[in-house]
Amino acid sequence: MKKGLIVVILISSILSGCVLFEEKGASHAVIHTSQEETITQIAERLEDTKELYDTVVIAADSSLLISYKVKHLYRFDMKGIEKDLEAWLKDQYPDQEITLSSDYKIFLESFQLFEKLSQKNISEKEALSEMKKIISLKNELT
Amino acid sequence: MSQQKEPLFQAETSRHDKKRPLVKNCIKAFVVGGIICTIGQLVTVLLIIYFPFTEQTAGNPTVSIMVFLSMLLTGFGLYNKLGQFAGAGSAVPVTGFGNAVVSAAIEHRSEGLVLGVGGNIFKLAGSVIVYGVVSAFFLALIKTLLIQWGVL
Amino acid sequence: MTKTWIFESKPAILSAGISGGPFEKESPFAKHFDFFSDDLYNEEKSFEKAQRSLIEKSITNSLEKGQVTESEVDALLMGDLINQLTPSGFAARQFDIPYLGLFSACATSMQGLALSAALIDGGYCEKVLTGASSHNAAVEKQFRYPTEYGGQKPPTAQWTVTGAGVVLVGKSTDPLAQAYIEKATIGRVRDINVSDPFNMGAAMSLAAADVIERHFIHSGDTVDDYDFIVTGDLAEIGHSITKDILSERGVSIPDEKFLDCGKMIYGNRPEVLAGASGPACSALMIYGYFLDELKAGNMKRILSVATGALLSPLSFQQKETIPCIAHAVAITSHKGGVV
Repeated sequence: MKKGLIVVILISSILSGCVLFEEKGASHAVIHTSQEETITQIAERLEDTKELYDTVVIAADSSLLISYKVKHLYRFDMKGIEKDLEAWLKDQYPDQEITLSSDYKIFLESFQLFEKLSQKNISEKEALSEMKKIISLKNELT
Repeated sequence: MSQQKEPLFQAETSRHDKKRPLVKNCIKAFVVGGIICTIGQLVTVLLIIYFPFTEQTAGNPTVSIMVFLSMLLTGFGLYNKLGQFAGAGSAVPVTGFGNAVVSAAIEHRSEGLVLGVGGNIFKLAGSVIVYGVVSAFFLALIKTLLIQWGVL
Repeated sequence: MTKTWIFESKPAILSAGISGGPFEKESPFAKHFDFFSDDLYNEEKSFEKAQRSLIEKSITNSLEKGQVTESEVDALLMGDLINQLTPSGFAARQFDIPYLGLFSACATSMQGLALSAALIDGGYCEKVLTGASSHNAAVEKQFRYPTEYGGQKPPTAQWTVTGAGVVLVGKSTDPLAQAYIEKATIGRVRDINVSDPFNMGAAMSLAAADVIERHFIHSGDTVDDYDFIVTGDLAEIGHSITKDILSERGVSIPDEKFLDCGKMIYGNRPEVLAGASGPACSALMIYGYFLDELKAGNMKRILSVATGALLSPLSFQQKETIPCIAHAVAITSHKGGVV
């Protein structure tokens, strides 16, 4: 019985790894249509960054939410990647509030928001408030 | 009076001494420690997916849950068996800390709640806390100084 | 002046009361013990109280088997490992018998037996109860870590026996006499420079070798006079070291004659690591198994050498080496003496 339990725990923990590494590809959505150009620009930039794989870009009039996953081998340089991206974004979009995160939770939430946006079953107001929630989650400290 | 300590018999004692099987213990510790950490990672992932925790904030609740699990195992009398098998593998992760606290608490329950449990609960884990805090203080001091001097 | 005590009147062991814990119940020698507690608590609230209740049980059993009442016993000589001998003292509170507390750590059983024989041989007492006890969890608590703590023990560590062994010693003329105490050699404290409390066997080896050598020198006996030479709780490592030291000093004992209670009591269970230890280890085996064998005539004469490490939790934390003691008592099945 004890051995069975250990096997179950092991299998479930290994499988839970799959959830983390399921590739979603590059996704981007806008809340305000005026930002279409912005997200294509950013998406291009992200595509050029070879260290990243899944990315989500969500743009509103005054704020940008970018979350991404770093390829495993480059995780040691996560800080550097974030710094480069942030510098570039600040330079390109000085008027916007930029939220940049490699956190898995932020990615998960952003991706859900992206799905809702792309299926268009969420109102502009709801989407904005959800985006705000994600941003506050990111800024939360331990 | 003659010298009571006889310094001889080094050969006899070392000939029959049984060494700890170092390589075997390392492998066991690696595997068991790894399994414990995998379970911890599973808890973190679950917390991230189902609760509003980010990778940053999921650490603390994960530690609490792992300590709680080791407390249960200690109470059921299983953790000491695991410890004998795994050695450092079960002592180094935070679960070992939980075990050290709870085992002392159980042991001294017979002396009452105040002097027994209260007084002895950190008998083993107390030094971890003391030296953890002391070394954290010095690390923070060094970091502050380096930042002040502009090294970092 | 002889340093071996020779008991002219050959005081006899009349009866034995042996109790053990649940782990001892699985011992291959369990049929020689009388009582086992169902768990380490023996229906008491703490391990120390459980130990006290085991001692009481053993005393009651040996009184019953020896067909005597408390008032007929002149002295109670008991010892254990717990602070200030509380289990023994507290158990003695229940009986109307004059009490002497003994401490020789795990050598207490033989210290008690030698002293009882001396008291009877000297004419001071008619009947004496003597014994030793220990409790695995109580000892772990006092000397090592909490019972549930998941620390890894090295392969040299030993498993403290839970139990109490008590014998009633009387005159050789008593009809209940089972075996006779012939001689005893009291050991000297020896230190072999071992400071690791997880390697007590090695620490005690020198004391054991010393007392065995002295016993043969002072009593004039040879190894051939004994069927077995039984050490208390040296366990695997200490037992081999003792044998080496003895053979270097010119006393060679064949392997089949040189036994150790600590190696025997649990058979080959891996969880006891190097073997068993504790005052109860030698008490259970000598007063249980060996006494029965002597009584049945399967053995003629044994030299029982209980070994004790005289350390305290404080002394090893202060990095002191462990001084050790051992006492040897010759027990025979023949009243006549020379076999």
